[in-house]
This record gives sequence, structure tokens and C-alpha cells, in this order.
Amino acid sequence: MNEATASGLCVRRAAAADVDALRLLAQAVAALPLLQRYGVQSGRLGEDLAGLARLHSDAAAPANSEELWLAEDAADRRSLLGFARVLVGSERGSGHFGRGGYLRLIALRPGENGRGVGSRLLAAVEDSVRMRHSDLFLLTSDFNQGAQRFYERAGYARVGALPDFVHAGITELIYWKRLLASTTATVAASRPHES
Amino acid sequence: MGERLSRRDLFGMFRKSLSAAKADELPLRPPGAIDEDRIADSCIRCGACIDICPRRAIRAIPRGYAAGVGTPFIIPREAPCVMCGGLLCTTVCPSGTLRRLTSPQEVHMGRAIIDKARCLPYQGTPCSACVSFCPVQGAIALDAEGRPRITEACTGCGLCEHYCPPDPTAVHIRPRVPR
Repeated sequence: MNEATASGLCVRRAAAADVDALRLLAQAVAALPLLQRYGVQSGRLGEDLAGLARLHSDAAAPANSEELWLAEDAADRRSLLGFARVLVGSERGSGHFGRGGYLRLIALRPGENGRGVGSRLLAAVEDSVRMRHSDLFLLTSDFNQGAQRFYERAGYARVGALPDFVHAGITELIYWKRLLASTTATVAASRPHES
Repeated sequence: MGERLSRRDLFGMFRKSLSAAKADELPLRPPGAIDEDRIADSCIRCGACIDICPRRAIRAIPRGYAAGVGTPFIIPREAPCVMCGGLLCTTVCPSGTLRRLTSPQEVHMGRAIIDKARCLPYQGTPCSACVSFCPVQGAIALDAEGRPRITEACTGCGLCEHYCPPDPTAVHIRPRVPR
């Protein structure tokens, strides 16, 4: 057994068949105190997630810059345990700060904390981003100390703060993790032109 | 005593035994690796590929293994090759054991094999984990019932094996067989 399948979890990319389950998951997640504080509405979140899932299944759709990853119980596929949304540039040298992906949100169904669901989702996101980019960025709320500990344990460094960035009265903390070793070639390729 | 074997004879015997060996018994090598029967002599055990691998997927063959102790290999169920941007391990090998590659399409580590008796869709349970993580478009095709089939495009990176939900896995990577 490995870290990906430990605890009987399955992590995979969302598909059109998940639309109904995603709406139910959005309903549960939107009730979390964290999302309530940001005024997230379950209906809108559900439609956002459903739209991403449909795009993943549409071969004719243009290359999507946002990925939606889902976690479910490998033995019981009736409900989703959580999701991760990540923005990725389609090519190397694109993406956030021209170098990386941006993890928008990891959210778990209430009561699913503590069995490794968030860690599995984060590992999947990192593997996906690592194929194209050298870095992954994310924001956490200043009051969300649980998330700060989670990301710091996973190797993320706090590198800045953005007061009132998303919501008045909340400071967003910027976290960063280097996914690929920096090489001369990649640094040179991403550096702005110097005269 | 019998006649003394030359270095060439010994090499020939080793090569023959490798070719006769089942692919499953061979180690899965990192991207760009030269043929299996030349790796033990070519690799200088510097560890550069191990150090630069961002997924910590590459490790050194431990003592006790038949051949190639200290040479790089991958156990995808534990840590797969993510075919990272830049294919970094292929850029640092000073001995040429890992040849420099520039795109994932050039990677040919092996090929995924599906155990249909364990694969969930073949047992009637929906699952798309392997397709989700496959970094090579078209390497895993789904039939009308959503059952995966591995195509020639498979590079053997092992992401499918790593994330396959059943334990033991329903997918495993068969290393490239020496020519």
C-alpha cells in the first residue's frame, strides 16, 4: 500500500458523471464555517464545480486551465469526500508568476477530517502541477490555523500576506512550495530580459 | 577445471540471461535509460538523478539485488515518475546512462499492464483514477463500458499504478525489455 491508496481512498479527476454528486458535496461544503465567512453560496459553488466536471469530460473543449480533483472512498462510491481546485497554466513558463500552479481550494465534506483525504488531494494536485511547472502557490486565511499547519507540514513556506485581498477584514497568507529543483536553464528561461 | 571465460564471454552470458528474464523481474529505470544490459557498467553511481528528482521517485538499487547495485530505479507504487517539466533526471547524468530527453513522448520506461481480475471497471465498478493521472494523451483508452486499455503511447511512468485504488494494484508497469 502507498500514500495514494492508504485508508482506502481513491483520488481522481472529476467527470461529467459526477455532476449530481458535486452539487450535493457543494451543499455540504458551503455550510462549513470557513466558507460561510466568505459568503460562499452552495448553489453557485455547485454550478462552478459541475461546470468544471463537464469540461473535463468534453474532448472538444479547449485546454482547461482549471482542474478539479475528487476524493472518494474506494469501497463506497456513493458520495464524494472532498475536492481540490487548482489553476494551472497549459505550458511551461506560464501559470502564476510565470512559474506555477495556484491551488484555489481544498474542501472536505464535514466530518471527513483526520483520515488523510486532504493530504491525498494535495499530493494529486502536486503531481499534476509538477508535470508542467516548478512551483505551487496558495492562499490561506489568517484565522485558519489548521490549514496553515496542514500546508506547513506538507512543505509549504509562508512568503507573504495580502490584507483585505478576498474579503474585507481577512488577510490572505501566501504559501509557496517548490516542486522542481531550480536549474540554471529554467531560471534563465523565466527571468525577464536584462540589458 | 573448465576453460577460462573471456570478458566478452561473460558479458555475452549476462546479456543472454537478461534477455531471457521476464520483464517483471527487471527494475524499472528512469526516463532516458540506456539498455538494461549496459546500465551496471555505464552508471557511475553519482546519485545526481536521485538528488534532482522532484518526486523522490528515483532510488538506488540496494545491496542484495542480483545486479546493478547502486544504479537508479523506480518503484511506481511507492513513488511514480511524474515526467516532470524538463525531465530533470535526464539532464544531469554525467555518464550518459540516462540520455537527455526533451519531451514526454520520448520516454519509454516500460508499459502498463492491467490485471482485469482486479481492475474495478472490469468488475462493474466505475473508476477512472488511472486515466485521470495519465500524463500522456491517448495512452489509456476507455471502451464503451469505461474499461481501460493501454495503448502503444504508454511511457511506463507509473502514475496509473501509483493511484490505482485496489490494493494490491490492478495496474503494474512492465519495464522495457532489453533489445
